[in-house]
Amino acid sequence: MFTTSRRNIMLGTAALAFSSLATINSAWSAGDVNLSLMIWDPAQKAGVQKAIDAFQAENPNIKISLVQVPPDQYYTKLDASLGAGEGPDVMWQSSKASYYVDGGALEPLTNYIKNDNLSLDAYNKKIVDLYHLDGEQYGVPKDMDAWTFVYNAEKFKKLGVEPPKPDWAWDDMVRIAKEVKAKQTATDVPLYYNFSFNNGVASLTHALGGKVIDGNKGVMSSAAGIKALEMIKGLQDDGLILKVSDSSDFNPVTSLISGKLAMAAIPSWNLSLLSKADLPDGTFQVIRMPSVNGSWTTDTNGLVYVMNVNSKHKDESWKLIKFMTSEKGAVLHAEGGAGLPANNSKAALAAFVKANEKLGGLEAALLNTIDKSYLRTTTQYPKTLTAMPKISASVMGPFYAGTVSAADTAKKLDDLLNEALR
Amino acid sequence: MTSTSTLRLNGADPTPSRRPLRLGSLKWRQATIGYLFLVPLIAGLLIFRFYAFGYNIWLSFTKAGAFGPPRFVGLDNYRRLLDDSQLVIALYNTVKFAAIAVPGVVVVSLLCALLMQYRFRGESVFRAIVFLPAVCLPTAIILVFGWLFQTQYGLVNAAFHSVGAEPMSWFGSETGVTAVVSIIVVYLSFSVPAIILYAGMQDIPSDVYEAAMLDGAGPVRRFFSITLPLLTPSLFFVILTSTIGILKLFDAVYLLLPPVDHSVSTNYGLTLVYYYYYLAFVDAGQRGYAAAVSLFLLLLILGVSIVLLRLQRRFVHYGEDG
Repeated sequence: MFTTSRRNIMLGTAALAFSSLATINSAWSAGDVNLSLMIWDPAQKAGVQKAIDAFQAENPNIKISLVQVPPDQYYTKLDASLGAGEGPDVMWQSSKASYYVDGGALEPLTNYIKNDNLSLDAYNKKIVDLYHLDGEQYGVPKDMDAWTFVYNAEKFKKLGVEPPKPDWAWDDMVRIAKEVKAKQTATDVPLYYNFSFNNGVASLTHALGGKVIDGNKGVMSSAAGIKALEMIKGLQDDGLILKVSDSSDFNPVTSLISGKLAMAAIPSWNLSLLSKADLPDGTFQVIRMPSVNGSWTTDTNGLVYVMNVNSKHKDESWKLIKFMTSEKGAVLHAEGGAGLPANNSKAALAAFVKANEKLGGLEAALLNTIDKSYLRTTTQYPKTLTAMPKISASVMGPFYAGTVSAADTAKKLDDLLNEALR
Repeated sequence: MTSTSTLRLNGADPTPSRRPLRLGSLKWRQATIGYLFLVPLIAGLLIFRFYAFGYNIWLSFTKAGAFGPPRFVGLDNYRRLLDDSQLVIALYNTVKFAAIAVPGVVVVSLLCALLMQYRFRGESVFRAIVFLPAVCLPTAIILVFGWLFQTQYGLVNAAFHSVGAEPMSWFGSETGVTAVVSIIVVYLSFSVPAIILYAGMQDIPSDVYEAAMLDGAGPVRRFFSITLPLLTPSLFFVILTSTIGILKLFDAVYLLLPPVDHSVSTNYGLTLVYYYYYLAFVDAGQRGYAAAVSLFLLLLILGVSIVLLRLQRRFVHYGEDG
């Protein structure tokens, strides 16, 4: 009797398990598709997830698994998985996209765009064109970069120094930094200006009317290039920015939040870190970069969503890309606070500004910046990416240390750029 | 000779019988099972060591990226090795760290091993402290050291400041980077050598010390005339393994000077393995050249090991039996 009962229980359990499996299987076979999406920026994860949630609500048969890989491991992991013919269905790409296109790892999106009548006019043209390679469009833009200046208004108030005005110029910046320096404690830092070649020096060169590369050749030896180098080194030599050799572990965002730093050039991808700081509204005010000879500019780069050529669900992947870069997707992403939308929609920019409303003057500063930007050297000329570590360590390091003149530095920069462009 | 002749005279064969294994016999089945147990290990060795090593050699003659077939370029990558200023910097730093950290590891581990010889209050705590770096995650230790030496907020500079000294830019100067990296490497590497040297000290016969004491030798004399010479086999092992380990230095410099930052200080800490990693996994389309750099490192380690093995004949005493 006992044996029979136990057998019955076992049979019943097995039947139940089998029917559950059958139910799961029937739901599965009803057309559920699992897609993976790989990104690198932890600050943007919340915004991306928000957009994904909305996409899944509209497409209940498509499940998205979002994978955020630390930025310094992103390409290593991507290379390993794509090289093995696997990898995520959809992913972010940046300046390195051309290498992936050359390696045949990305799916051309031209036909998908054409079939769905997607207008690329809805996106920043500079970013769209970057991913038009070998006659095909490989990516749809998701965000772009813009550098603005942020100052700690509370700190200026405490020091009794008049803060910078939205229409300020380079000389104003130097004057204000000197005033701050004179009034604050010696261990504090008045100013952070990006001293790297690829961002700070190149931007200032462009603002001075020069170029970094012209006719596929390095032209930093021009008057504008040399002047830009001298101007930024001047900030260091006057003690207005931290000595470059002491800056390798200096973080301008945390220094602004702690009040150690009075004002800083901050890229758009870091603005959300400031707006999320536990400080009263309006502590941070945003203005455009200071003008030189009446003009200003900052470098930009843009990220796109691209599709894995080996994706088993290309139609669904395209659906996801289209949604994430649409006005609705861009707005939801921007509500997360990080990643300035590359979608030209006013609603997307408004959502980004609203998500960062603790930062005063943000909208005006961005509007004054976006149209004035130029494509970052490594973005427009991806071949120069390989030269950057050498430029930073072997050329810019000795220049800021004072062992090499600006003219010789500019010449070395041209040599390394030309070598990389060959 | 005598014993062999005796055995032969007695009719016994000194060599084991070599009968062929019969298919299906017990011995055959036992041998098969034995070899089956070896399959995972041999397969792992074949795929992850021998195949990978051979593939790396082939890769060094190609131009290769993450995707697509590698393109044969002959000796181009090896020619480039001769004309690469970054490789010279990486080689200089690698040798520099080895030259500083290997003696550091030997001295610290020897001191710890000596102290472990004595019985004193808190000796178990001391032993735990000595072995702590070996059981802690190296990444965590390196990051903690990074924070300690941080220029603006680090405890070390705060201590300098509190005694009126000028804070130092630890990661902004060659001296600073060299000092921090060497300290970390020594700290991460001294535990196991200390245990090896301690074990080596246990093998030194106590009667040698007793005889020396009767002859009036003090502790210092006993250390230099008995401990050190009789410890040379262990010391040699420690020096050889530490040198090879430090020539492959990567984690400390990678975590302190990450490649995404393009820091102006990278050249102060760039080692050969870091350079290889950058070329192979951060830069694009440089895997062929990275393979050539890795083979250059192999030759360097091989050369240093040969020199050390030659020196062993002169300086290492294996006792009367050895």
